[in-house]
Amino acid sequence: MRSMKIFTALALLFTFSCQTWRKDEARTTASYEYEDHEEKNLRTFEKLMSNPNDGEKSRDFANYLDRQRSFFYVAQQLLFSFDEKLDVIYNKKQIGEQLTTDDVNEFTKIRFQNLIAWEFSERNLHEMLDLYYLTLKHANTEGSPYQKSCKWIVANVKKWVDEAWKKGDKSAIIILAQNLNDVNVQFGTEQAKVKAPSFDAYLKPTQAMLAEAYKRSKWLVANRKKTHIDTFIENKFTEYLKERSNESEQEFLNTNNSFRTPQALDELYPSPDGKGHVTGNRFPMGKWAMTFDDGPAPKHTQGMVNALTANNVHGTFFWQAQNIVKYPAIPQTKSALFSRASHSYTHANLPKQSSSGLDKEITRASTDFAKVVGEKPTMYRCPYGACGPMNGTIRTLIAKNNMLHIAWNVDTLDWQDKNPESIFQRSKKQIDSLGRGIVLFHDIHPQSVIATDKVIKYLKSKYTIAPLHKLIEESRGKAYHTP
Amino acid sequence: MKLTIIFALLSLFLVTTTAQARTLQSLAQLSNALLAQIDKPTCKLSSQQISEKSQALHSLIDEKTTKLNEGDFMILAQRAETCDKDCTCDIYAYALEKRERPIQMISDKAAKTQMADREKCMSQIKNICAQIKALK
Repeated sequence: MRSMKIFTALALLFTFSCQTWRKDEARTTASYEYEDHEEKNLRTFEKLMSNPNDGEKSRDFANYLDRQRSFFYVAQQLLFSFDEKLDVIYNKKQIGEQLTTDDVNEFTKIRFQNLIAWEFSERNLHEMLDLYYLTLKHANTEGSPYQKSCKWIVANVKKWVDEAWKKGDKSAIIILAQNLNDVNVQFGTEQAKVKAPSFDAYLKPTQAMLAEAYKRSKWLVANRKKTHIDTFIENKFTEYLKERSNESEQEFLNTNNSFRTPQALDELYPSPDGKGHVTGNRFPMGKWAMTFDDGPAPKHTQGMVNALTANNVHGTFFWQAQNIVKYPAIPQTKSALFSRASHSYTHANLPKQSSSGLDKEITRASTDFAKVVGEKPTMYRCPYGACGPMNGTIRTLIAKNNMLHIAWNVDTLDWQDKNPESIFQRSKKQIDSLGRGIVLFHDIHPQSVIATDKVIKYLKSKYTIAPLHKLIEESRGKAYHTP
Repeated sequence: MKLTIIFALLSLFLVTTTAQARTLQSLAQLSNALLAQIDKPTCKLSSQQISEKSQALHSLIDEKTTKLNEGDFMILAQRAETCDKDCTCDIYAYALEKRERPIQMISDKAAKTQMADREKCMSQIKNICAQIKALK
């Protein structure tokens, strides 16, 4: 019974820790590093685990974790409120509205509160991850006095996370599972005797999961009761006001702000983690980019260019280097209606390649692209969308070659369907359900050329088609050049 | 003795080429089922999951396509008559066009395939959801 209390408390910590709110995508947090492992947390773990008095151990552990949970919970509500309000003011600026003094004062306050909340959030995250790492370590250490307890915890973590997803704070669970997965990777679970649980279901949350999580967060913010932590933050703010004068709106809307940027602004640059990965899910609502893979194939690529020209819209081609070398005419053409990007050398399945194979498919593809096009590509799309995990070898090499990785959120499935009308109907359905993003076509099939024209006309009638790199610029708040 | 060896080799040839084409056929049926899932999501897959499965299938089909040999092409040519019955024309057309050996009848039939046809073909395959979910 006593040990059950301990485990329940740990479950609660798992449930409420380390969440970061966002509307439509899980915010990328700093990856867990074994080296970050704090001495303080090691001591906490040992203290909580080794108290000879079982009754005290149980009570102390539960109280400790409950306190962490409370702090974290409130911190996250504040982060959510901040993000929501920052979006409103950012959008005001985007449409050219003047900010009032009240706007500025309100945001000076919220910005400061956010900083405090963010600090709580990060601290709790690392404490919780350290405890999980230590649990894994002791579960795998023969002769450890905590081995039995830790084995039990490891065996139950996944169950707790799944239960928490059903009942609790869904945004938290998505981020939590992603961070727990990082710990598994750091720990090297391949070799471990006690296998760590898999959190795959949360690593790439679906749109439906994200929407559900956002709804839940919104409800929690509206319904939570004020606590002593709010008072603490209010008092801190009063102190802060005495020390510093109000900041200008430029400062809090600064896109280089290191701890928080408006949700509408993505931190996008070539990087092996989420910051180097574009899906289109966070583009401004109503805006779409057209993309075409696998060419150039003289006839069909020309067909796509004709469709873009006739409709006066922009598209981005992701070409295989082997085809660029073979059919250089269109790739050599610089046009305001299309951009040129890389789609490997031979369309090989990258996770199955050796390091020399990867070098050819990414680095050599980029070099040979430049020989024909005149400059290196700044965007890359993995064949079959298979880029391996974040921070893995493939994504690292793409970033090293100074390219963003571009995914998509509307797959027309045009390669496997030769009926242009059904391709169009399928695309339309996805477009209307998402409202923004990146459409994937292929410029090597005749049916795709016909379906592209239909999709473009539909998009033009209801939405806006914009150049992909312009939408990236809009998302990240600064220029992004592409050939 | 010579006759036995020739017979054995011939059998082996026939078995392997048929197996190759059969494999492409089953992949083509899976492809059809995936397309049908957009309209009739009997396997409860999101469009994002369908896209992921489609990419995995694409890779498998490309692998098979590069390995097609003369025997397979002959078998595929014979299937032009029946591919519309199991909705495999699209993928046969894809494979043949990729290998620059298009067959007009297959391409034409593929272009005429309707969603209703796809759903009907999908309903004829057992354990389709498990097969789709197993795609990696």
